[in-house]
Amino acid sequence: MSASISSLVKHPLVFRGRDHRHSADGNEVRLPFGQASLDKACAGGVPAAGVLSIRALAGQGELQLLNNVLLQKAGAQKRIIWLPNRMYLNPNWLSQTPYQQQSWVINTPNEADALWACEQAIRSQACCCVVMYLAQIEPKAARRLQVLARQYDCLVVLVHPGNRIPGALPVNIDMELSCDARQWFVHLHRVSGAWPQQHIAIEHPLPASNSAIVNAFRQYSNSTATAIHEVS
Amino acid sequence: MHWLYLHFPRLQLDLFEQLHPEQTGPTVVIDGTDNTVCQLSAAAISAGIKPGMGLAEVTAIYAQTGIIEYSSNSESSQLEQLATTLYAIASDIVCVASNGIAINLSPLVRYYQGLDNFMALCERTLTAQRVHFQFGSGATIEIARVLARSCVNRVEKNPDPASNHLKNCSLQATELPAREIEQLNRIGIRTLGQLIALPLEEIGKRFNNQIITYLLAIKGVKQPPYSLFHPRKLFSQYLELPYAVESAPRLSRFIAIVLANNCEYLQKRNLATDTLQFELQQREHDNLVFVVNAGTAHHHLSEWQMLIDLKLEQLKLDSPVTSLTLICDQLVEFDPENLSLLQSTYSRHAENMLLGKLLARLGNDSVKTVDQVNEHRQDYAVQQTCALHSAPVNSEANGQQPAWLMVQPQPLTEQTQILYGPERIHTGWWDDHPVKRDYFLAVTGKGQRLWVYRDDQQHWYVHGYFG
Repeated sequence: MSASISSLVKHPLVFRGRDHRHSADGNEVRLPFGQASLDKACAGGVPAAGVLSIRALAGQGELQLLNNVLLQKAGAQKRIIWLPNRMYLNPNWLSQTPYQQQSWVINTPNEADALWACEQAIRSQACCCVVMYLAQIEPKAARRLQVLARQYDCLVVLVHPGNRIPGALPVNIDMELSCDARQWFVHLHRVSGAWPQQHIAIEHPLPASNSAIVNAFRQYSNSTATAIHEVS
Repeated sequence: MHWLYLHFPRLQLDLFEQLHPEQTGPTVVIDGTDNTVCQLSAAAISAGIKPGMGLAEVTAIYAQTGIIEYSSNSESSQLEQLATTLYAIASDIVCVASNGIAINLSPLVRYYQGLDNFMALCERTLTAQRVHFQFGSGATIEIARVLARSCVNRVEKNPDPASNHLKNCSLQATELPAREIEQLNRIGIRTLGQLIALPLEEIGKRFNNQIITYLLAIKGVKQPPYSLFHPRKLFSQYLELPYAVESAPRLSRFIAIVLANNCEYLQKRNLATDTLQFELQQREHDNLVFVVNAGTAHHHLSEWQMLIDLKLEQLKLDSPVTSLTLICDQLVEFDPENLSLLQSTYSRHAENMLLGKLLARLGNDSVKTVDQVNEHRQDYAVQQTCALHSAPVNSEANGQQPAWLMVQPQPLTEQTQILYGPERIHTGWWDDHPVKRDYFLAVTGKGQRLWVYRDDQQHWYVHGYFG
């Protein structure tokens, strides 16, 4: 009986949140997102070594959400590897970030090569962080990256749509970004050191807006003069 | 003067056996000019095959005999490699023909405190190279050469031109032309001793000056001039493959041999390289040249082998490869960094190793650092992403820009809400690529933040995503 339970518990797809909570209370370094509600749900933030899976479409502000985490990892002075995989990283955007000098962008012809490059980067111990965009990821591949990343003390950020994966990925954090009207939510499918949680509201402002102009016009229209322009 | 002559009777076969250790059956090297056996393996001798036999006779004796065509290029390259190896233990070396090396022993006797010490080292060095050799010594290279070809295999402490060993040597062991040997045989002269006993004036009446010069050298009177061997300042080695190789990864085991020689060459000279060039001779197509780059200059065999294997995985051959050449001409003095436990030093070394792997597998332009591009037209910014190690470009920030760009802007097809803009870009009228666009930040129903623009034709396009 105990042998069969033991083999069941050891299965890689069985999530043992309680066990992870103990390790989270130990010496595991966590990097906060800078969003109080999200950090609380993640037991303090992203574990510094391992895989963070973000289910998001390109342009949902995933890098903005990660900004605080990347800044903390960049402090290690090791390389940050970008694997855009069929997308093109804007050089002017990256050059405005503090970690531009330590970034390498690797162009790969396909996703298999991207996974290979990611694995080599982790094993090299020259990188503190790998940011990889994929169209899809198999749980087995995610598990492999998770084990390697923990072993070699590297943070792997995996951005993928995630719509083809039925369950949670066997990684440190598997989260999904979603938008409802103007409110942004994070759904935590799996977190090491805490229990999964849905609908965590976060602040996710736009990188730019016309609010200053709108406010100026609103103030102007409240005055006695008649407004001649309207801005949405 | 005291010369040692090393004769390598089956150099091409030795290389074949190194490359093809599993081949245990009879194997012969055939001289293509007259289709006769010039080198043969021990198994071939056991089967009854003898040097000088014709191809038909060989196959009649043993139908499964492995046949290799003689290649003087391959032997010359091997001989040069051997001379380079011996240069580490001896200074005055002369490469003779395509299968012999002469070493001046006179300065080595004192250096090694005796000939025996040097000979032990020499034999050990050549055994490590896995080549068969015979040797002899004499006052001139010609004497030593005859003794070596006669399998004397001993070195006299005091070279004596009139030694019994030399006198008993057959004329076949000399460099005399076959026609002259036949003439001498007809008058009953079969050994070198008989020939030396004849007065030179009499020989001079019947034979030409070349024969006289040769006999003077054999008598130890006058040594013909030879140019001494000097190793090349750049490493280059040609390797004839035992059979045509059809797929690139299978070249790895053959490349390993020349690579080992290259790394040894570099280590002995405290040199390093970050570029190796390979030239593959294809049977039905032009030579295929490929270059393997490492992240940093080094001379470590295992790391080079790994990079080359990665490159070979990606390489496509047009037709089977029959031989290859390794060229290593970008040499720098090896400057080992202090690989201490200091984080930054270790990281830099690890970085270089990673870079080498990535370049080998994904191509030389796969890894890039990114610097700001002094261009408002993002279509051109995409094309001008800086290559690795390029100098940074300073420019002003180009306003709010997205993290991700599309290589070609795509027509905007879904419904969006504009939340920021416009930012007008109107430039490029001076270089035939004018751009007049109003850029906006638009959001889709799924929350994707798009960087869209409206051109002067009032058409809308998506140009990037705010990550």
